[in-house]
Amino acid sequence: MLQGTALPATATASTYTSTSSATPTSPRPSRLRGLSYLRSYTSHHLHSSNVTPPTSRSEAPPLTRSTSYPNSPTRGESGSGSGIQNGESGWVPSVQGRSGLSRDSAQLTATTTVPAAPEPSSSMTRSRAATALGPTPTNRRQSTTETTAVDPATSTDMATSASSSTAKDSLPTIRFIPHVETRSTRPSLLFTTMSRTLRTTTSIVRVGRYSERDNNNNSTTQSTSDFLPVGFKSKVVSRRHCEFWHSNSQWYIRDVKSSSGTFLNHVRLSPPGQESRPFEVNDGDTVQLGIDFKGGEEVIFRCVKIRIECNRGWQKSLNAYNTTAHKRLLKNAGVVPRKTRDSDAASVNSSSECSICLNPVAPCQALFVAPCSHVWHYKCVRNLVHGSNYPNFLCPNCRFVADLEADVEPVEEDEMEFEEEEEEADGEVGASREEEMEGQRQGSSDTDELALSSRPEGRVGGSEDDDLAILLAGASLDPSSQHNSSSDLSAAPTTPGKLTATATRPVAISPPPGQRSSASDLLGAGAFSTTPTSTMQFALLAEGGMIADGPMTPRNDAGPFVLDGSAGRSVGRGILEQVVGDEREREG
Amino acid sequence: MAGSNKRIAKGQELADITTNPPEGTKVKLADESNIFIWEVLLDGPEESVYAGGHFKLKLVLPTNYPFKPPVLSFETRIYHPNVTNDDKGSMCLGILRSDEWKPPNQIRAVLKMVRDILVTPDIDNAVEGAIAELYKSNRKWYDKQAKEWVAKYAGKK
Repeated sequence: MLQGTALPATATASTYTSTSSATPTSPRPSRLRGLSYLRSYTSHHLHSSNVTPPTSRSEAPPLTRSTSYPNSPTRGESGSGSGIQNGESGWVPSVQGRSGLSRDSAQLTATTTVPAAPEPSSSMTRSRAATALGPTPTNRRQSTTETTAVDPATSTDMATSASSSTAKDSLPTIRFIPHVETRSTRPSLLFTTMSRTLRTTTSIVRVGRYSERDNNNNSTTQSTSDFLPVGFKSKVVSRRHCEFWHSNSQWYIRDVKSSSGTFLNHVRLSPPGQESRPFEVNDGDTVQLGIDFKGGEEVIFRCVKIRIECNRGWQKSLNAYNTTAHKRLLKNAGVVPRKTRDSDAASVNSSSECSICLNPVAPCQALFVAPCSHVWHYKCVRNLVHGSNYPNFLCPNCRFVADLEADVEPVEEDEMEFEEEEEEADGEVGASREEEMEGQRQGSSDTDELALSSRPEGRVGGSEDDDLAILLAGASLDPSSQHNSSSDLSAAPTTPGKLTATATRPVAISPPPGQRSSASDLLGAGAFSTTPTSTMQFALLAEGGMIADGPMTPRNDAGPFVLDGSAGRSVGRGILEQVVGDEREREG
Repeated sequence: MAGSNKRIAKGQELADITTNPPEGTKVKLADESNIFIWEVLLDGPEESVYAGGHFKLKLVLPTNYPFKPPVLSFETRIYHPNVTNDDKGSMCLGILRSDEWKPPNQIRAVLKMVRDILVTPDIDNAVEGAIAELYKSNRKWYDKQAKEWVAKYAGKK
């Protein structure tokens, strides 16, 4: 079947099906109502099925059929192989065709079928379940490679917990980092990383086009204004484009009648000139302001792509980890007790300060340790390091010439090795190391155990969502444990329950998981669970990977739906093939 | 060279050296708006022939200081083998030479070195061959000459 042509038809089919099958009694209900009905229905059943697994299997098939099989006879007749394809291609455009609102719930319904339909007979549901599961490992892998091993979900969790625990970090901070999409053909607007710390809890970060007046206002009314302007020098950014604010340890974004749109994780928040409702923003989310205009060839017509980093103050401030790490680093480098062997010892200051800027070398700084154990701020010696004679580094302190490209060989007495360089973003490096360390601490226990052990945790939480998440975790961690090295594991399994819970939990405004227990609560929350979180994005990526690039597949990086066709494709394919392979094994 | 300028701009060296100057020196900015040009007032070391003299020196920091050495020159004329015997009064010696200079070196060390040089001229690296020759052959005459110059040029404060 040519998938490109199949897209529109199946798209409408699936949207239609899911709603109609959800509420068989009412002929044409609102989507939201139908879905919430379905949600409560399935979750209710799932809840009981979780308590008594054997009976759930007998219950399951009618439920699955009703949710996922369409009414059209053609799809019912299609074989297992094409059924999968159908399922995929039907699934993706339904994502496109709907608003973010219904889409999120749609994904949930797809995943709810996972535990209910373990039989291989319903091949399509299984494939759907697999694709729905797919994103989780993809997400992790992408985040490890792209964003220097800081898993957004976990870090947000840690960030919020840290910020709530320490009074010092009480005022929330948000950072805007230029987001580079690996796939995009041209760069978006370049800007320097900006950080804003709210002055009061009710402060609002106003994002818009850069203007001098904003800056002047900023300087004059620094202490009084509750608005923190953030300006971008791009014409596609409206003067008042969007706003960020913070409430109940959660950041929110709202489009304030921008003309060219605000995209949170590639989903447009509101039509042109309309104000959007608040959307939850989490650490690691991407926000795009506007669309490239006139091809974006001129810099001022480029859209702005931002990666959001929020509440990471704990990472940049002094904490036990980075202080000890710093000490150990200097100790291992032999810096602290170093004897100065310089000729003019009087002029060479003590080694705990950077001899270039004469400031002390402290934790939370990007440092450069030369093989001769001299330490400077990376920024101070950057020009010496990346000079014309690059691989050779002439130590400004002792004139020892070091070959920076020399092979790094393990040192016997040191269990840890230190690269000469910590990059500019040493906070992130630190975080990744931290995760590494945590991975080592928990290292011996394997992932399967962790996934299993996390299940009771989820139960304590008491909500079906968490249970689902745990099930997802169990299923999604498996492939990673099978064909992934320790690096992947170290990043992931620190808190698998927590990770997946946040990753899959779509609830925008909700109490902590321990507090909500009843299905009605969940339902109420589910009705608002519309935030296109970062996981959603990756889910789309993985789904997008399944379909070939048909003429209907939107692949622009500027359009309202920036569906990524390439990222995560190989991973997605791999999972699909695995699933298909499993299928054949069972059948054959 | 933001890092290097910060070293000057944040006034680490300047503040340190003005609040706690090396013995017999006073340092200030020649022009408050230009942190690259320092004015140094140096008293002739007591144990040298330059005792009693007050020498004015100009210290020019290169823009990429501390990666390049500062340039030091005597504005007050001085009879010394290591200082050019003209109105430039430039000196190029020891750690001031670009191949000897190391970024960790500080102005404090430079001033200390200048004082040492006044006490004990570095004959082997002399820029004024005649004075060096005289220093070696006829120390008395040299001392007399130097003292005359001190009285003539460096007497007044």
